[in-house]
Amino acid sequence: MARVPTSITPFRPTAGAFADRKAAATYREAHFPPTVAETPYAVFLNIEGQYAETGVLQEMILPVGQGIRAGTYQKFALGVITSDPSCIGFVSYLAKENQIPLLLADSVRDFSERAHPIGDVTQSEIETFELVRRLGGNITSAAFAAEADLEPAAASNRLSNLERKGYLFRISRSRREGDVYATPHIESRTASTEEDVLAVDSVQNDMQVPSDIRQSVAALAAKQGVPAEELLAQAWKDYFAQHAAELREELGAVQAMIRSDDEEGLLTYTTTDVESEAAKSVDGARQRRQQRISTL
Amino acid sequence: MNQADDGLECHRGGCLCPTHELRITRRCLTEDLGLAADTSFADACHHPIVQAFRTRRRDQPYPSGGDTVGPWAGADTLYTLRYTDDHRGVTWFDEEHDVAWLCAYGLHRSGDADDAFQRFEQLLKADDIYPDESDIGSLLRDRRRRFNEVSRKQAKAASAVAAHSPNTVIECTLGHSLPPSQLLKVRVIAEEVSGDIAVISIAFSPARLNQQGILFVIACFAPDNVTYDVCDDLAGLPLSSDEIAFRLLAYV
Repeated sequence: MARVPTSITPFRPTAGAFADRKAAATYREAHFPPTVAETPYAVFLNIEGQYAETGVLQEMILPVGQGIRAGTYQKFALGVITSDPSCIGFVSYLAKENQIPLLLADSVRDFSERAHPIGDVTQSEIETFELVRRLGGNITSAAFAAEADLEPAAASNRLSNLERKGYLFRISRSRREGDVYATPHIESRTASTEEDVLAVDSVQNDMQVPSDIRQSVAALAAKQGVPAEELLAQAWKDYFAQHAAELREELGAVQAMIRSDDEEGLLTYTTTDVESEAAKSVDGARQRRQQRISTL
Repeated sequence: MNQADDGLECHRGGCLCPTHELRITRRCLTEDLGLAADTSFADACHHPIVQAFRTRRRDQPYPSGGDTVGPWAGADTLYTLRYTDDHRGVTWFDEEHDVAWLCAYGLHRSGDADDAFQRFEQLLKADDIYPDESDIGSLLRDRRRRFNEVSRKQAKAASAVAAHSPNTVIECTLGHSLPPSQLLKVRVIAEEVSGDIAVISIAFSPARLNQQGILFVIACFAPDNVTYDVCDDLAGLPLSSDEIAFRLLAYV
């Protein structure tokens, strides 16, 4: 069955977001406004290496979890990445005590493969979740019943329970096809589609790698189940090997600037994307402010 | 870069605090403080509000529970900065770049038409108070300049260390500590050393670099010879999945 693509992104809050509860609330309100997600979408907060106070973590996570449970976000799942035992313990307590649906991964690497549900979830439901993931991450009720050797009604109940609690996405399809239940999961490596190949070509043809290309690489990497950095490294390796002659000429020019301590020349050379980055940053901030004003 | 008694480094338009940078928007610098657009942060510190900005926003980029200019606005909240009875400033913490900005300054004259807070409200209403493209551009250029300055020296030092210990992987970090996102970890190994020439291999993740950035890193380690080979490993050692590796000729 073709995968239902879900956008999945590790978010790394800045150090400032962990300063105190107010900073955490500010961060949460800026990055998780209660907007309805029409397509399945998962965000994993990467707090690996951050030693945050419990109040700060609570401020960052709990309101979003409560919003998911209340249906405010529709097709949205929240995960947390941390290997710190005390953070794991507190986040697990937070999810269970407040009955909020969370996913927890103990490593950034393969985080969506390693994430497991925590909160208001029974052992049987965890096993159901793991089975759906093992079976490819998206499945119909009928197919699940066949694989799990369950009666159709029992299979349907298990899947719809998990979906109602916020741990699975439910994608509506025709009655004949049957709805699909999907885990928030990066698609495993499969044969590339033509669209995927074109996206790779666009990276290789324009190796300035502006931010929109990076986003394409990130999306392609998500589909193939590999980290974006891995895909990017391979693309650069191929590019440097295939364009050695012209790149050596450019390298010679850079080396000449270094030998002659031409700081201004090096600055000009290494800041070709500054204007576009600055414009994008300011536009994004302006839109955010206008959006806030329009929702007041 | 220069360092003052408070231990903070100033570099061109910024003051580098442990976790963030302090900067002044160009509009504030020229219109409110009456200084030239290219005034360095260190020179601007002669102004009392800039000195207060440096002192009060050094440890925390925004105050906890401080007075705001305009309503509380999440990530866009503007905070008041006070110095004595007269001097008033507006600061904003730019989370995206880890920068606390001094966005406006004025004298507080309660009831007067040209009172600082009247002016701040006008700027806020016109959406003229936050940093613009030229401010962010200057920030990115200053950071890039800092990276370029220090990484050449760091690469040269790492190559020399590697040459002294052939076939040993040396791990070095290129860049200035602020911002930490711009730091680049590079593994270096000298495979052969003959006199003052060494064959060295380097490996690093290109995730945050463009073509110019990658060529700059290569040139830092080997500023004299245009020959490079793209490698599948680091002198026989495996690469991380997100690394690329080059073999270079370098004078050490």
